[in-house]
Amino acid sequence: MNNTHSLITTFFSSPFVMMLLAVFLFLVIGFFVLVAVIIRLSTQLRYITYPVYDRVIKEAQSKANEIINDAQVQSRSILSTAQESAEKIISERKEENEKFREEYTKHFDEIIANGKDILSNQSTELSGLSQNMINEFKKHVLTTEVLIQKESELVSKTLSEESDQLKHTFTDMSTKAQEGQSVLIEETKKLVSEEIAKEISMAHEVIATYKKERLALLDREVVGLIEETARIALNKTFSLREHRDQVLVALDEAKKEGVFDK
Amino acid sequence: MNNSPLTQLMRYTYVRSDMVYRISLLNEFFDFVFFTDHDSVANKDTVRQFAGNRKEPGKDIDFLKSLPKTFMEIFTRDSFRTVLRDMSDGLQQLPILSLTVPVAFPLEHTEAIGKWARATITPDVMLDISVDETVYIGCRFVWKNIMHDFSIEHYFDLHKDDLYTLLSSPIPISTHV
Repeated sequence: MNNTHSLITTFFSSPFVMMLLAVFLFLVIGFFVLVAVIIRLSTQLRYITYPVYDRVIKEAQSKANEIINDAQVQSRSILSTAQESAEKIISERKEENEKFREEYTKHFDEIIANGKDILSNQSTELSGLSQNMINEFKKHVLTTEVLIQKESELVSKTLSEESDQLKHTFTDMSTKAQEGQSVLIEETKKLVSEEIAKEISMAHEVIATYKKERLALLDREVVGLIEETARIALNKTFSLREHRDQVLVALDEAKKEGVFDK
Repeated sequence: MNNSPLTQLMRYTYVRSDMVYRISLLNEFFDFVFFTDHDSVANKDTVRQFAGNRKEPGKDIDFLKSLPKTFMEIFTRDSFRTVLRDMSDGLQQLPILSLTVPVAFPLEHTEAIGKWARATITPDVMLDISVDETVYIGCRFVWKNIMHDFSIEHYFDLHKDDLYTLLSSPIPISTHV
């Protein structure tokens, strides 16, 4: 505790520290003074600028009011002028319209009158024309009737002629058919008899061939039997020496046939 | 025809299978002569000794006995295998008449046929004989790869027309009752 007290005493007893403390105090005081000056200055500025601003606004408002008033006066005069002009124009147009309507009615009446005349003329002409057409048609009908009657007579005449011709043709055909039939019957009879003769001849040939083949077969069987008998007989009857001799005979025959010369 | 061992043996052998067998028999005989304990000379005594070692000497010994001394002298201890091999090779080159006969012939008959073949066809021909009962008579043979049939069928074919003529001729009616 004593040490601390002595340390503080020593510290504050130094001149440099004392000078530093004085500067610090001076700076703090200066700061507070500066703050106070600023606050005061800003309050005064507000109070100083306010009347100028208000005056400028008021002047602007009065000028605007004057301009509006002038514009309203001018607009009223323009409006009245325009109304007068419009009324004048409308009255002029009404007159023109009335004139046009009268002229139109008049022209329309004239057109209707002309149309009526044209229609009455045309109806008169049409009735005349239709009468002529009826007369022409009647004439044409009469002519056609005459023509049809003539054609009918011609057709009936032609038909009767064709009918006669057909009758003749059918009669001829019938006669020819009868003739052809009799010829056909004769030819058929001839063909059938020829075919029968041919069939009989063929049957004879087949029988002859069959007989020949059967006989040949029999011959072969008989020959086979003979050969088999010969084989058995030869095999049983030949001695070894005779077999050897037959081998030599066979080889001799082969030699004669030139088998060994090839 | 030269005088080679094969040619000499062909004088006694006509069938190819017999020749093969005899070359094999000679090989056995000379093995006995040169490689067993007795005189190394092929003569009638050694043939007799060889016959004593065989169960069925028979025709084989007869054949060996029939061989002349000059033939036996060709074979020595050093050369007999080569000579026998040359004989086998030479046999393959000989022309063969393959004969099919109806019955099995004994040696004497095959020799007769062989002699005929060598006298008629060619001197160095060998027979190759087989048996087929359907031949019945005569023979069939193959010569130069072509078969020729001179069996009973050949004779039937030759006389078939005669048989048919005989069959087709009218049968005489017997007057005997």
